[in-house]
Amino acid sequence: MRELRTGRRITYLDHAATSWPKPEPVIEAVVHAMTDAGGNPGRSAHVLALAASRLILEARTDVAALLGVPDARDVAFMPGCTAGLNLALKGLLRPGDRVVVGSTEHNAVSRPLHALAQAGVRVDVVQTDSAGRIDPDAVERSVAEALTTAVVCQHASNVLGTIQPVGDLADIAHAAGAYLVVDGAQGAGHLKVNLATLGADAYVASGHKGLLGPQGVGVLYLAPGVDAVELTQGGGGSNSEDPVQPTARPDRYEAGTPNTPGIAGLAAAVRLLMAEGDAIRAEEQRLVRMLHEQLLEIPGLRVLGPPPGEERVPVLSVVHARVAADRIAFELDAKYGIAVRAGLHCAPWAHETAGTAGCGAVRFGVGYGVTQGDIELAVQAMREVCA
Amino acid sequence: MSQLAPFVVYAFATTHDALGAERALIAAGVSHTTIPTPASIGVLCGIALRVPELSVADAEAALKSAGSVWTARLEMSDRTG
Repeated sequence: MRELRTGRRITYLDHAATSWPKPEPVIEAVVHAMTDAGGNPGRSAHVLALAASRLILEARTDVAALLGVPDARDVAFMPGCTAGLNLALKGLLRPGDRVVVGSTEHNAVSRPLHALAQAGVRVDVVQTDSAGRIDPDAVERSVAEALTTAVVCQHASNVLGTIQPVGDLADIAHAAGAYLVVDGAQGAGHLKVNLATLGADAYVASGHKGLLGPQGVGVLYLAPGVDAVELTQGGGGSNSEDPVQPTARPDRYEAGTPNTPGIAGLAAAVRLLMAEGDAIRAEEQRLVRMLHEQLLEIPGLRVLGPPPGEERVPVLSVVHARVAADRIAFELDAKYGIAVRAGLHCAPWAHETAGTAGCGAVRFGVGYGVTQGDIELAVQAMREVCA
Repeated sequence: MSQLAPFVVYAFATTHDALGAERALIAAGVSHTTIPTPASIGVLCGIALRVPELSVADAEAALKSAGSVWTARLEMSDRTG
């Protein structure tokens, strides 16, 4: 539980939407970027611009190190995970291409794919089980049905918490000559990610969830040689006389002035994760297990996703037999100061898969800074709200 | 009486490459100045590294060791004195 400047107390369990509060070094880094490094990076060689440019170089280097990317130039900063996914999908797929995708994807994937389908891309959905587990054999069979350009999957479900077998899917995709595109919004930070070995050809991460950075920044990794066409052309400080967008990474994918404060904050968060990530992840797992086990004891409450004992990211969604999800979320907030998210979580496919499309669910997102006391309060509040 | 102070300018494809090279020179303790890319060097990234002639050998060894690849190299001089 934390106290806001207004005096209101809040127990924040909405980390799957965005992490809060941000670690103090993140806030300090944002302020530094807006003051002593407040120039436009890559555009000039005066002291403020160089400070911003160096800041971004260090940020890119550190993000690459955290994610196991050997060459930092393969990391591009995006306005967010959604922008990165749009770039990866629309940059790689053309009319006539075919995509195989799981049935629990977020709208950040399903909507671009819907738009691509309208443009002539064939999108085939492989149904997962009700816990969100994708069957690699089913994906392999689907891929074998027709020439496939890309397999698309999320690293972990933002509703069900399910972690997908990305390595197996990479093997299947590559054996068929297809790309593997991974939505890492709920994976990066909450899971240890090594992109040098994971097998993803494109991996997109949100900067403000498990990576603990500010909102408005995301990370796109494209493996060497993956030739995604950029979606945006414009200035970047290099090759200014050329009407054609530079092809050198990362400039190709970063037209326009970057979100330097956001990137600075993300870099500070990444440094924290490099130092303390294992401990943070272990605590998140301990707390989400505790929450899971104790919520299961509440009569009428169903926990979505994998059962206790099976790995998941620290996301837990529940539905009650009698009390509506929006009512639960409202009462948790109004009576107990507990912040959770109700509804479809921008992931109607996942709710269709779980059988909750008609009612939605209440989602608890555990993350950095959550305490055992927060979990105990949430469980007690749930007992009372669902009584 | 004025004299010519020779130096070499290295230019790069991207800001990332230019500042990565700068970092390599700092790590190696090589004298240099980070400057706007001279127009005469062509259409590259807007940031270049200027190295005094006496430090060029050390600079190029440091850049090669760090895997930094410059895309243009121009020998220039300033009139001093």
